[in-house]
Amino acid sequence: MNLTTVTALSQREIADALRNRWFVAYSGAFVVLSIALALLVINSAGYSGISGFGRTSAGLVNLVLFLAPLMGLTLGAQAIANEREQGTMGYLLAQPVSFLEVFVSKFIGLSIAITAAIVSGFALSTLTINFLSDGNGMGTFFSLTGLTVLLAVASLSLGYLISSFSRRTSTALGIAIVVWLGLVLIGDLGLMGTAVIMDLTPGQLLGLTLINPLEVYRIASIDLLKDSLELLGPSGLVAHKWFGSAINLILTGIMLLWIVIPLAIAYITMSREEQR
Amino acid sequence: MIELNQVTKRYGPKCAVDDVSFSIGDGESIALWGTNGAGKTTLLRCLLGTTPYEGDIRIDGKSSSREGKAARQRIGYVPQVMPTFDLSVGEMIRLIARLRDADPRGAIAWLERLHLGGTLTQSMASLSGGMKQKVALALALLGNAPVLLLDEPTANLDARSQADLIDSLQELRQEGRTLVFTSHRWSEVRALADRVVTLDQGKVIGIGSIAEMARIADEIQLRIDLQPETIDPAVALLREHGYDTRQHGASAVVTVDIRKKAAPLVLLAQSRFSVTDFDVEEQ
Repeated sequence: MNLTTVTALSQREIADALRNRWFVAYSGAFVVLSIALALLVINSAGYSGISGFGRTSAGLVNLVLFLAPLMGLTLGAQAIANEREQGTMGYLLAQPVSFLEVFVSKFIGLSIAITAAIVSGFALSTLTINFLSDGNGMGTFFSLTGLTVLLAVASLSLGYLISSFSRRTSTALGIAIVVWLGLVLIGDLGLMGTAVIMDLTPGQLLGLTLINPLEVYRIASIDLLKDSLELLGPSGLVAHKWFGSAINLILTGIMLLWIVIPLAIAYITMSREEQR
Repeated sequence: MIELNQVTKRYGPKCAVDDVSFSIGDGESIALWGTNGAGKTTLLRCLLGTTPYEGDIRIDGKSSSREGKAARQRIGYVPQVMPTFDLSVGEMIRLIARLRDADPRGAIAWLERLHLGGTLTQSMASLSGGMKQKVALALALLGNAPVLLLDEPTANLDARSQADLIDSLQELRQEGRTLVFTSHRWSEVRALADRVVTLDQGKVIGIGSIAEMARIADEIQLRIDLQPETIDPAVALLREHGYDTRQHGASAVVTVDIRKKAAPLVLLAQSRFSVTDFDVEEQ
């Protein structure tokens, strides 16, 4: 792969993301809500809020569970389908570039854009808390930022996969929203219902939980906060018991798989499609 | 030098390009001519190496399928309709220049030659069809690619823009660039091509010099209806005067130069043959 090509195409992708009204709206909402949450936590704790970072982090987990996958899925879903619809993909591939370079560059560019949006939200929360409160729990806050970036990039990868087999941008966006709803709704509550109806063992329940990246993120982040083990839910408790101190390493590994596997399937699907 | 050797491209059971072989010399201008669906654009995609095919295509010795990047480095591509990137003209030039490892000033100079020097800050979306095609041509010339592939370059342009673009392409031809373009407009082919490769249903049905093709393209068939009892002497008279004539019922079918189509009718009238009707068909 040619580094100049990858850099040029990634930069174009970042610029395109910044012009994407969906992405700008979600990112803006995320940043504003992150700051609002930090202010709310500090104010609810009275003056000089205690454990400002810890409490804000717990609030941010719930915000992230809704917004980060939505940002990633919609951005990824538009990435390829829109290029095909506009004919820009065909024009780029007529240049001295390989399909792999175009594919990887787009993903890198979009990942940088989404990471910037997530980091902005967390960074502005950090500044707010540091300015108005103490700095307790800052390390956890940084770890949570990293975990959130992983979730956003995994969602982006899933969106990329949706885009790879969609002919039209509107179709890809529609599928992305349905997938987002599915991932959000099939959360701990849905799994608990399934466990009761299907009489699942704790191990089966954990298996089902780990196939939802949002649940993986939720368990990993709550474990990170060490807030209350009850908050982990039944599958989280099983994960904690089975994996012990390696839980965050394993969950991070699963998140990385959520990035790599959809991306690999998308690449295979698209390279076959482009090669027709 | 471009060499195509037994190139075949199938879409499922449909053969879009069927066993095509020919070569193009440096500095030559080749028109791929044929109706819609003849396989012209598919053949261009094979030349670019953006679609897999059977057979072999070499651009200056580089295989377009196995060494696609190296082959495309030697090719500038002008699509039928330039897609609209969400970029300004200047940003577009810088992007493609980086991909081609070329100096963007080359394209900017070409834009000035094409009277589009003031559009660098304009968005691609705001340009007219003709302006976009000129920008596409300037982009294709980045890095001094010796080969230009053009897919129906004037198809969506008004008459003025068509003439401007053809003028620019003629300049490039004179500078020694190799041009390969698809067209179904005879005027464009006549203005630009040295040779014409005629495609029909993916097959090459003829390769000829522009002079040979012009002769064929300029001939028409004139069907002249006569009184049944006069058809034999009328056909004999036309043949006597050198017209390629065949008899079809009570009609004489004459192959004639498009600029002299009235001449057989005048000849028959002067010889007091009664022409009841006539019709013209292009070949």
